[in-house]
Amino acid sequence: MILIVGGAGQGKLDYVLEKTGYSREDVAHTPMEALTRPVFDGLERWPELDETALLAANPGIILICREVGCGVVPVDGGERARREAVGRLCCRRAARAQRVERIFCGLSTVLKGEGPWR
Amino acid sequence: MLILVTGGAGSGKSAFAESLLDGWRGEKIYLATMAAGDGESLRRIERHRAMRAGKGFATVERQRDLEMLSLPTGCAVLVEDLPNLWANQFFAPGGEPGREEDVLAGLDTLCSTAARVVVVSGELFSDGTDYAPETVRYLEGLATLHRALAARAAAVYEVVCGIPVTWKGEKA
Repeated sequence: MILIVGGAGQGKLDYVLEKTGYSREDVAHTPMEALTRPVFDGLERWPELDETALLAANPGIILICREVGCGVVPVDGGERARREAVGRLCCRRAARAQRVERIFCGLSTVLKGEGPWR
Repeated sequence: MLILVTGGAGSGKSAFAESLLDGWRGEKIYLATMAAGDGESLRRIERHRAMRAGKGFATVERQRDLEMLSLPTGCAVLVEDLPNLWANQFFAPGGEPGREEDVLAGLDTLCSTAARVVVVSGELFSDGTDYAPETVRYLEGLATLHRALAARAAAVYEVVCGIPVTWKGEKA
């Protein structure tokens, strides 16, 4: 499993597609699609994701998650919980990922895993 | 040569950007893009003016349409800053929202005249807030500009707590 993080609009998906040669049809946008596709974009929308089931079905998946934790803490309790859950989800996935990269202005920095991509 | 400097509010990105032009032998232009709206922005402009004092910058104020500027060939330009420049273009009064291409064209023209262009921008993309559609569109445009400039730039730096993190080019 590979984890790609970065702020909104930074070019995370384009970077993954360029690195892998996958096309947009290969990209999952829901946990159900992610069971069988190589790339799952929009992890931040699924803070309650069943990670165990997903990783059991698709251990080599590339997860793409938007960074959402760097703003003013929201007034709404549900929003606060969602941001926290997304952050924790990324921490758990990063701990298990063989590779973690952060995308910024379309550029990448490797946070974990120095080997070749695949 | 184009250099992109970005970072959070109060991160020290402007001071770092200015330092990239220390020792520049030719003309140094400070291209100020902010339309001062209130006391806070006036104070901020004053703080930046004081910071630049004695560093040899000539200040040029231009809020949009940079391609209309005529600057001396071979000069160095510090553009402060991109979020303002894009806002001035995007939220232009009484008309269609401005386009990223127009801002890029202006910066490209600048780069064809100036020998060194340092663009200061800001990090607005990782707060996870659901903004109104127009603001989302503004942020998407700014992110598009960041990617386009980073692709063109010789160097890209993110300033964190006054420390420049090198994303591209010569290590700061």
